[in-house]
Amino acid sequence: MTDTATEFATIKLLHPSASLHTEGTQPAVFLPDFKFRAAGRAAQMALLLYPSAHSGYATRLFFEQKLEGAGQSRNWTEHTVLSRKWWAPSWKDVVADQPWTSMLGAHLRAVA
Amino acid sequence: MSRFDRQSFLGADSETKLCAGTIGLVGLGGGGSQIVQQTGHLGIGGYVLVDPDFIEETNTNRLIGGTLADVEAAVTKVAIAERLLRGLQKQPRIVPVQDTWHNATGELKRCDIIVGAVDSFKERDQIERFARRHLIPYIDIGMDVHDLGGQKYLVGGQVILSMPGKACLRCCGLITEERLAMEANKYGAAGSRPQVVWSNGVLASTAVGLIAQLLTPWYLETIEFVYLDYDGNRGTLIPDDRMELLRDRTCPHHPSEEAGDPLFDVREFNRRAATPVERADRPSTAPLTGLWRRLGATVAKVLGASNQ
Amino acid sequence: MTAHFKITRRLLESIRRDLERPHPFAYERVGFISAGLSSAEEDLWVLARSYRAVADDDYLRDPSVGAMMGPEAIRKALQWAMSEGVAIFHVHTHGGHGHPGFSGLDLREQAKFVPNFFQIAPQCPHGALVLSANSAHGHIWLDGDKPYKPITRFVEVGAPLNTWSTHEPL
Repeated sequence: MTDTATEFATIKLLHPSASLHTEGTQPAVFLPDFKFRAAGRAAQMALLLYPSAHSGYATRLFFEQKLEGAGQSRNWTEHTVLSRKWWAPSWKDVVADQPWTSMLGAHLRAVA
Repeated sequence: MSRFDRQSFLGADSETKLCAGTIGLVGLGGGGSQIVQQTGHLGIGGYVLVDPDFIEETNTNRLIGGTLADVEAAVTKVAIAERLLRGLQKQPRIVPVQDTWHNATGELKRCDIIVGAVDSFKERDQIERFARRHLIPYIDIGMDVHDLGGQKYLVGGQVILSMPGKACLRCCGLITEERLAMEANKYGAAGSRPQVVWSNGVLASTAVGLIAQLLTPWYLETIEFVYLDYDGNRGTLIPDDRMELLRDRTCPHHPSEEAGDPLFDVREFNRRAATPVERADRPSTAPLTGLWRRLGATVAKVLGASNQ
Repeated sequence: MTAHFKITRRLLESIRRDLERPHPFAYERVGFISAGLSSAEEDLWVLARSYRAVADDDYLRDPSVGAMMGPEAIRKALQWAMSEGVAIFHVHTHGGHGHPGFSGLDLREQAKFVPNFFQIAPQCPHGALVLSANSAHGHIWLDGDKPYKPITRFVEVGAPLNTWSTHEPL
């Protein structure tokens, strides 16, 4: 069982501008201007980490933009979360029972 | 004499109230097109019409207003809906969105009521959540045909009124994590689901009755949670048991503390207001022809776009 | 800019019931509504979430006015705004029916304390509402340093919906 406050604190260390919100009573972590690698290239955009069940997946990472050329076999779908539009690749089995920082890394492997 | 004289029992100011109302329709296929037609007749004045698809031949068994010529010309479902409305009202306020609803949230925020006539549980779940965040009543309709084996089928469906604060689609058991997971696992393998015009008609008509009741009530009893089960074999549309059980329930899935856009910042709003940007017009709903139609059909096939 | 205020009927009725309770010495009761926000182009929606009454002990005795909040009432409301990052709207009722309006005293007092909320929660607008038995009127500040704007449209969300517009000279 993860402790939301503790997990969010570790995310804040990684990304100080992160903010914690809720959707459906579950935590949702907004990561503005997050830098990561996509298809081997540097990328930067807002991400939204949802560390519990969402849209049929155990956990989800949403991207501000669909990443052309990255994870292209991953069936990108549109979502509206926290009242905003997001994209998510079909990247399953990133379990909820792990540190959020590990979860974030596991999701980013879908587009790396 | 007014063309609405026969519905004057809706109230002395019903014509004005209906005309002032704006509804968002997500999904303009078999169910949604019936709602378009009926609300046009009823006199609802404002519409946000949302559907990304073109009419195809397999839609013509149920898409109200769609013709074989529309199929040939690859007309969009939004254009068909708009044409239907403009034939029934002199000056309807129509915002056509030939896109997914995820790209129409700005327009949908302005609606008094949102109606979802979509196939997907994921879309229902997210439309409802969006509606709840914006304190907008949401009406959901859907039908399905269940194969009972031995060449026997059950036609079923539901009409649900989801009001802010009241029981939601998750409270009803319509949206569950299991259903969402099953749907996610079927991605790419989803085929065309059976759909028939008469069942869509029952569900859509009932939804329109709820719309009318929300805008211009004609009887004193107010019902803020509606969950009706449709049995197409028996020809019944009756309250689900949960309608009474959940009548006074405060929804735990959409707490009031989640109303609004959590990422909103008034300073950003003020900055944008200080530097106004000309709003881009929505794409034309004019029908495509020739090369563009074939290109559109090819793209649709590649993407495996589902049709209602 | 068009400001809309939306509130469920259940919440609005509970607020009216609370504001109509007699107070040991004040003639009127006051409270605060928290709200989320949303926008699309020039439209801004204030989406009411919950209500907190000003506690009986947090009023000041002042027979010259209907109700006078003490510093503790305002401190609690500021704390609420800060801890939850919400918009805060002061609310009271003038009773009666029809469209209510702010009194001169209301306008003077709200001009003093509403801008203070921007020191604590600058990411949200804040404001004030006055109710009647069947309507409401309100002001919204988008910036602590600029004048308020009127809330021009209200929606009481229930079955049926109840919508009304107000018009106030800008």
